[in-house]
Amino acid sequence: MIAVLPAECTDEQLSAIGLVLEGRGWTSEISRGEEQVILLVSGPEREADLEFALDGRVDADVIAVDDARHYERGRRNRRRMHGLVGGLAILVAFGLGIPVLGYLRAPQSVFAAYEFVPVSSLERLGENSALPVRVDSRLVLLVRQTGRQLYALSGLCTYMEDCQLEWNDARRQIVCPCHGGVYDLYGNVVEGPPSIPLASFEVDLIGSEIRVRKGA
Amino acid sequence: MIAREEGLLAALWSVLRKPVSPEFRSTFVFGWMIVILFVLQIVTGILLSLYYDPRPAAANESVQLIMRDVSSGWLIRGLHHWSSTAILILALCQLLRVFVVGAFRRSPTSWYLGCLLLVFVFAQAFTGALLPWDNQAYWWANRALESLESIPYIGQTLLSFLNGGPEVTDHTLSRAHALHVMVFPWLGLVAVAVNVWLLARQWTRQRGAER
Repeated sequence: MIAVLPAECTDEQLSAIGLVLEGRGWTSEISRGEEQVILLVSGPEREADLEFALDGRVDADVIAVDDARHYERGRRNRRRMHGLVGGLAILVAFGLGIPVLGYLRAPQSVFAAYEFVPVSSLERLGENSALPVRVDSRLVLLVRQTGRQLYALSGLCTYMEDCQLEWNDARRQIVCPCHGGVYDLYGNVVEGPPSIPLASFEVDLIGSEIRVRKGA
Repeated sequence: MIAREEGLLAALWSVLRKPVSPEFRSTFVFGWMIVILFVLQIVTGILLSLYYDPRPAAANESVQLIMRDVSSGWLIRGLHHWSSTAILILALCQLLRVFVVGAFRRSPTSWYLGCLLLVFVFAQAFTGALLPWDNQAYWWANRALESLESIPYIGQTLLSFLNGGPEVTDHTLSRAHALHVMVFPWLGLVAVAVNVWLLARQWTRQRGAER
């Protein structure tokens, strides 16, 4: 068996190791090279026991070989093994890292809720009137008070979601034809069975184009 | 012995055939697997907390967002969920091993810490199961807390402590979230660290004694 030790090994260390090995019934022969110290060991026990005996004393590389040629081969194999394990580690890091990077990015649905959708124009919506429009298939009631004062409220009654709200011109309020629920311009319940106010959406006016935000 | 052939397979073979010290047992891997999965739990838990909203009205919706809209959200949540189950199984295997081979005699502190860790693991599994705040979580909380109530003397107090009220309410979710994110992980981390330190110390002492 060969144990390869670093060249920095002092003679005291080597003799201490020699004593340990002798105590275990091994005979050892030391040859000092420029890059490393090679310990040629022969004895009854196994390679693992030798490594175990040297561990903690010195950074030993124990290989069960018969000669230097086999040692070279073993080292090459070991380098390949390091490459294989390192490569696998990099693969795993990428395999998990890329999904995690995607995960950290806010999802499209969150971005979409901030988008404004053009729905109508000021010309088509007179003062003190309302217009039902669709924002992404959601029914929205666009209400204009005076001038450029605009409100976008959910077009469905909160008491029964299937009821489409209507604008009452005389009362200047939003009424539900199903159960008589009445909401004011800000979506608050004025009378009737509903208890939850209407959801409101942000309105953006660019020139005369009216745009409504997708999310509440 | 080194395989005489060259190449990657030979390299793999030489590593697989490399003899290790007879003191090692293949059942030793349980502990390290638990440590690795614990790290995975921390990482995926932090990632989940980026989107999870602990408000009772928003909790379920945020879990839906993770599963439906967030890229790879299903993967992160799946890893968190399934690795927690794996930890439970491995922890039971590990404790069973320590018990059966009598390793607890060598380091009783480590054994008690292990038992405590199993309690933390169960507590984490329980509080974690409540967080999606859906029907299953609600009834799971009801049933589990009812069984806690049957513990003599301390049952009632424990129940009101965990519920935050006379029955399962929104406070139960807040408490489950606080315990799951801010209490048990840290206690678990300390217990794992102390355990690893104890084992390392025991290991070096043993080897010192052999020399």
